[in-house]
Amino acid sequence: MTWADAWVVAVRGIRRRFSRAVLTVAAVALAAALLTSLLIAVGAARNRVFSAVSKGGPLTGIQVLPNAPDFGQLDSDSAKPAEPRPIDDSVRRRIQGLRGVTSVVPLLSTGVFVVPSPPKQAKAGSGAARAPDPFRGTLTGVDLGRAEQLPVTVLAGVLPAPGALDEIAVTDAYLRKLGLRSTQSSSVIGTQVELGAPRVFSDGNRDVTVRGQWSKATIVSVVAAQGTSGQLIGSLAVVRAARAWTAASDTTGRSGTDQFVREVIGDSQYSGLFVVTAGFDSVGTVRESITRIGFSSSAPESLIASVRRYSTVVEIVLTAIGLIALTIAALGIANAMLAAVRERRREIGVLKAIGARDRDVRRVFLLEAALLGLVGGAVGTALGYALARLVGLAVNRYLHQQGLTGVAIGLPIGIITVGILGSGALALVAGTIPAQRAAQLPARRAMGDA
Amino acid sequence: MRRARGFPRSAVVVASVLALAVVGCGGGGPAGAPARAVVGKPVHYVALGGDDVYGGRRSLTTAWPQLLFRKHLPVNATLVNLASPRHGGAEILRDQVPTAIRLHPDIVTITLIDDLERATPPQTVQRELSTIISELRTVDGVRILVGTAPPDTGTAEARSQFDSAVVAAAHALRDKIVDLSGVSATDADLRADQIAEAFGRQVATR
Repeated sequence: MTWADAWVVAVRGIRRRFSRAVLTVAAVALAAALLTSLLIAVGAARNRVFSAVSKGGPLTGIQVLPNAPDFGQLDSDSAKPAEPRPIDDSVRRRIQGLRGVTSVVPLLSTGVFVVPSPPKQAKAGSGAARAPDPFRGTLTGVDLGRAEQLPVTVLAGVLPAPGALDEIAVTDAYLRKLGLRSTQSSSVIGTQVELGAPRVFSDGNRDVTVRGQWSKATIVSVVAAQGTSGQLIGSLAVVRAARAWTAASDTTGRSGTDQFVREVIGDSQYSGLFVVTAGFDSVGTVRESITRIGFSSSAPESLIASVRRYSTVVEIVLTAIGLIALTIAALGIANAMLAAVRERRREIGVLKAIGARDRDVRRVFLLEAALLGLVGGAVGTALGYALARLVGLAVNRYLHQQGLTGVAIGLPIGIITVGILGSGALALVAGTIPAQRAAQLPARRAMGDA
Repeated sequence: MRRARGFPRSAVVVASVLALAVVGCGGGGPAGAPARAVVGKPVHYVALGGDDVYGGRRSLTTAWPQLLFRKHLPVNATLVNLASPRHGGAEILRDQVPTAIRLHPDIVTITLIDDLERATPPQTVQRELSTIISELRTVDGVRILVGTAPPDTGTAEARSQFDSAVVAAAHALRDKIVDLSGVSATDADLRADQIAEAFGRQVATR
């Protein structure tokens, strides 16, 4: 008997007892759905927690500050900055060359004068909505082409395009300046902000004057960002243009003007670096090396390690619950198959009478069990995913009401494999005894009993 | 037993259902950000003048060059306001024009309100304004927009602060200079938002 023949016989067996097959598949599907939805929920929750801890950046990221390290820095996730110490390209190259470092993303910042537009609700309301007060703020520039390597979480909107001069992201600090809550993020998206970079002009003995170079940008997103207390995040090009304007100041006219310029753009070529390491285990050693080079750093390594431990325990417990359900479903398959063997003794006898060997009969029943398990697993995995999406919608609605980013419900290939192939494998195991019993049934006895 | 040729149709159907389930469960990732065009070369705008351009009692956000920049210039424009209080033609020529030339502007606006307030002789104003324009013209591709009257003369009360003959003479001079130099001019005898709009219309007419 070929595999194709065995398949035909197995499918006919299922068709003949269709109702029972449907019930068996339903039992497997429910168990697989439970397992799948639990695994998806655990994965989504773990990712959300890690994302919150790392502010959306890689878990293996380290923030380097333009300061000397303080004693005891490595005992803490937080930076303990001492006196200022400039970060330039040579420092960046040294850190890039450390063992375990995969990338180094520079951060630039500068002081700007900010003229915000009224948020959208104010515009939509009374026509005479008062414009928000201008304020002195900080503009941070990052390489937005490598945004996935940065500790930046988009709360609303999309990140500015890399290199864009007319798009900007704002942080929660900007919302607070406008008297808005984080739940009102969408009201600033699409509004315009004017940024004035200061420059000192001096003419001989006359008084110095500070002139702003004003530029406009549209707010395209609200983000949460680690490593910057500023209100605005833009492309490196925006910040470089603003810093270049300020750096061209004439500081020869009056004492104190150079101090003003230093306060605006700082002494350091870069206002910080974000270092991504090859793995979580490398974070500690890379931080040690950065400390030896002479810079303060921070990384949520202890916090992430704790979260990982707890999430692994939760994952094991919930997987065990899902597997128990799947085992119960497998027992259901075994029961159904045993009943099928008992009811199909005559068919088994006929098969053997026309030349089928024991292994052919075993193959038919194993195929039948595997088919029930695989179909049940596939239906259950899809059902579990749909269930997780539904729960995710409710959870995300709540999180968005709280002004937080939602959870991303994905279906990793690992869960699909466990859901479908795991169900099929368990069904195969469950079908082994019935298949063996059917295979060992003597033809004469099978025919005689029928 | 009859040998089946190839795999039966039911096997293909089941395999297809399983494959579809796997593919269908793949779940879409977050939608990518829409591609946005990065704007080209910025338009650099420099404002020259005295009290009205500087802002005076007005805040930065309501001075008319800021309104012009905010409402009538493209999103990739930049503004540098070089105006200072009590600067007339002579001071603008001495302090603001050299800096303006160094900034290589694409658009320059000039208003001479302080000369009106000080009742500077029209001939002097004409000479200084002509020199300002000719010096600014050394910048490649620069567009010069001229206005002469103060922003708050839109009301009868404000207008009464000035000798009407002086205002009329200044306007006549402005027109003459515009004719001679080929620069664009606006009737700046308006409020701040109207001045911004008037200049904005001229920028848009290019």
